[in-house]
Amino acid sequence: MGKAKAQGLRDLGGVDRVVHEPARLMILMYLYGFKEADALFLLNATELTWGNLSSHVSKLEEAGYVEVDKGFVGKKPRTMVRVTSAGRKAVDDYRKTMQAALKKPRIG
Amino acid sequence: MSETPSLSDIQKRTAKLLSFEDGLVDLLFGTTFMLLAIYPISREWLGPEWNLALFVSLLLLATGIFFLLRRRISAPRLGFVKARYTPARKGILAVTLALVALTVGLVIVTLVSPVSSAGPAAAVSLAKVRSYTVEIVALLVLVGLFSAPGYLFGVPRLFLYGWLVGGAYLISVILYRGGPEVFNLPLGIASGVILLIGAFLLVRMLRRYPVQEAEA
Repeated sequence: MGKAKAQGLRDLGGVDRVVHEPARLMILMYLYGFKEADALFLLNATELTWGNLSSHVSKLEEAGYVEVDKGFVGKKPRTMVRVTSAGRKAVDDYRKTMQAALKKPRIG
Repeated sequence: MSETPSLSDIQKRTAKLLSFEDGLVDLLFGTTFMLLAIYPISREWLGPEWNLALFVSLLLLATGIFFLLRRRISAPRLGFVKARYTPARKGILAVTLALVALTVGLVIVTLVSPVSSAGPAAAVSLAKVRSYTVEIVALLVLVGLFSAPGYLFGVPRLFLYGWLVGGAYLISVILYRGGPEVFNLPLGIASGVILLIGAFLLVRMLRRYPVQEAEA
């Protein structure tokens, strides 16, 4: 095993646990490509339940990775969620760490 | 959640969910091509200028209804996303808008061109001396115009639409060139199929995504 590969695997220990959870990663990935999205879109796209979605969005908000705005469209409530620059950086870092760790060996 | 999320896949799925899941785009396409199928008959009644005015008005009305339905019916069911315009994305949007404007312009020029309104005799003499190279190129362009977004957004039915509309165009040229102005049956059938698919998708979306009362 090369030094670089070993370092990549060691980096897995320090991976951001907030991002690493599959549901939260999926939410962040959906938000990553857009300016903002509403909770209903996230619900349909991720196929989570309202309860799960709410809890994961709250955790991401606590970590400073997303911002949540609760407002109204007419009389109906609409929750808009957007990824922060810290959230974008967390996704980028996570991607780099995982790519380095899971890179296929050239031989064997 | 066993799949690995990739950004391009997620953007494809988002576009598919927000743009193609409700069937409204299909209904707009179908309506547009149905208007084109009826175009020769209404031109007989109204004359070229008024007919073009009617065509453009109906097209604008259909587009207005499309946006209204998307806002009132689809958005409360499917959700809402605000795009992030990076310089690259702005460039793609500008090119797309230019291509759409060019296509609409070409359609209008074709509809009001002297050849199409020169009368049957002129068209018959033209049909006898020309090959169908231009029509085949037009068919391939139509297939390409539908297939490109079909491939980009992962919507296979757009490939079918390309062949349906392109094929209908080629068949209608073979059938009707030089003949009297009649309902364009091949294009009518193609747009009927697209309208049916659109209606089916709209009903499916209404059943699959009820309006959510509670929010996270």
